[in-house]
Amino acid sequence: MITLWLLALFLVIAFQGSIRAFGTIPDITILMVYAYGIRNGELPGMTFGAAAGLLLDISSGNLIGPNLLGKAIAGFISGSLRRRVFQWNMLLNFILITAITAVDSTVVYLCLINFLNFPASFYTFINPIAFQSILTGALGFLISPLILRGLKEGLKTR
Amino acid sequence: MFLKKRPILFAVFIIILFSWMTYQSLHGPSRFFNFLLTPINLVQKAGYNVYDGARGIIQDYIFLVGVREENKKLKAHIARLESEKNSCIEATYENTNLKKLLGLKDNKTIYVTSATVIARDQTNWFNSVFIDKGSSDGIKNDMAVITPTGVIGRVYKVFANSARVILISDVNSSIAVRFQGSRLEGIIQGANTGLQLKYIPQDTDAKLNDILITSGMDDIYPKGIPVGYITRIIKKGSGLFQYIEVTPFQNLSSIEHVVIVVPSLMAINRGR
Repeated sequence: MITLWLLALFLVIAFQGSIRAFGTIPDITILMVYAYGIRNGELPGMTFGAAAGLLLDISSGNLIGPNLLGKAIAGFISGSLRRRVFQWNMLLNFILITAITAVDSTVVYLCLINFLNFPASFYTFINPIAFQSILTGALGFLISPLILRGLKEGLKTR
Repeated sequence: MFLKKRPILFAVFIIILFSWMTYQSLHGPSRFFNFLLTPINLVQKAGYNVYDGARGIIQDYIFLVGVREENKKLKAHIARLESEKNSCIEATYENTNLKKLLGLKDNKTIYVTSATVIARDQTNWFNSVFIDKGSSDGIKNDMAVITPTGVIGRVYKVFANSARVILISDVNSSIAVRFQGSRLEGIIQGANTGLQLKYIPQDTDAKLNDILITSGMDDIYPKGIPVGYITRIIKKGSGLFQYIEVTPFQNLSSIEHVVIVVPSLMAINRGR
């Protein structure tokens, strides 16, 4: 099963850069990390997130770490939601994905300015981050079946 | 017991990662995973080709509506350009003769190689593309990348068979430019979503649609290559400089083939 997830991740990373909506790249990788975290819990979610972030960092040809950290945190948070969400619905799904994407983007931004002397102010990126988060949140309905199954399994293990 | 260990493992992971990033910021990005770049590039190239093919089909068949009207407009445009071309030829002859008279050196751009775009950056943080040529084709850092329409960026990182090109719209990018008409100089900086022309004093008469070309002062971009045109000007009361937005001639989201050039032979040797 994990092989399928990794293969899908590899394909998503290959296509993600080509997909643009209103000038912004929706973060499809984080949708996968979120879905995997909800289905499998904190540590597997974190590991999968770290793998996704590592691939993104390698493909950017830059500092290895910002996406690795951001996605690992996103995976960990998603995994911890598995045991905490009682009543799941589409609105909650949208809010959670939007919030997790915003957390991931903020972590990446902070890493870039700290470790890569990224020259841009947060003001330059606040709009793209907000827009990307909302766009990714809206795309969250695509993974609704996966989330529902993951939450049912989470309830069993609670 | 295991549930309590999770936050500890998470904290340990973060500490290790922070240490590693600190090390990289001091000693340069890690090359440990570079061997994975080739398979990733291959998959990205395939993905890009599929996307490009699908986009081509949509553009060819669905957007055919209005082509006739556009054709008429283009024919009129061609006729106007033909007349302008003739004037340009005259001006070029005149310019060559005048340069000879003045004994000036001919400023020729040196062609390095041409390349195809194989992938785009996967995140919103950097505006960059990957090309299918690398150090084995003579590409070095800081070489200029252009298309027949205008400047698109510079080589930022070179691998054996690929290179990363940072686009002019990236926040890390800047170009020394000059107004084509008034010859006034300025600097264009990337602003993530577009371009911004900086250091143009308040009293300078900049107009909408003014064309900007490279000035060659940065020693990266050859002189005289079109960059873009002014699309927005805001003159603020107290500031020293105007706020000017520039739209690039080349649509940066649809680049297929590029040419790598340098301003002089010295620049080839200087590249890393």
